[in-house]
Amino acid sequence: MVLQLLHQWREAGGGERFPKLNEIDRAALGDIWDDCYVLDVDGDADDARFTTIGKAISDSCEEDFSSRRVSDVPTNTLLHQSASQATRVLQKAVPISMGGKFENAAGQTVLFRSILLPLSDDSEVIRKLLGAANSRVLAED
Amino acid sequence: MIRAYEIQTFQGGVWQVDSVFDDEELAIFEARLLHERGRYVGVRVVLETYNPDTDEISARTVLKLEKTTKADTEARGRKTATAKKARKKKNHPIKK
Repeated sequence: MVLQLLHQWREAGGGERFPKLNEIDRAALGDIWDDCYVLDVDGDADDARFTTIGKAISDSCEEDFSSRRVSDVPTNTLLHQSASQATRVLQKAVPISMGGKFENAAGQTVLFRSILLPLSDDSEVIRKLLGAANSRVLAED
Repeated sequence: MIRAYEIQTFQGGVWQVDSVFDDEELAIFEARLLHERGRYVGVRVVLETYNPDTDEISARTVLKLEKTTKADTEARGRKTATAKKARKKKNHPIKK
């Protein structure tokens, strides 16, 4: 999923530094779009706001965080773990992929892999971040 | 130790960071794909390690891939032919 989205991001950019959100081919992404979300970093780079959250990643949280900020999302969720890299992406201005594990609200260990990619309206200034994450619950021994 | 694998591409005469991974296998896989696409003269994976105890960052290249141009291949071919010729001359049984 991570590499597929990265490749779509590269294709959408077409040589420009950062693509626009509407240049991302959602049809080509297929089911992956359900694992994606979009963060608006224009207003407050330190605490970005979700503008879109895909169904799969939204369902992994106990409430709908659309239009809410990253700081509103509990840390023991896939959405927060993935979006927490936003500041780093803004600093480096490149896609960043990371994985890890956390304990969710049900006390289960969750392994995840995520990626955050910078988007722009003018291919120069980052206005949004496109994120994606998937996970699996670690089986108990 | 905090590790980050940077994929860097050689463009405009300089190495530029393309993306960052925390997983070496993924970074190398993606770097090879980028290289195969042929868009960049060079693609490399650089491991950056940050030691929070000493506040030091170290970097080393774990993979480097460079595009071979037709001119490079021809030059290499000429170099090989010249070396072969020199070895043949050196080992020739009839010495002047």
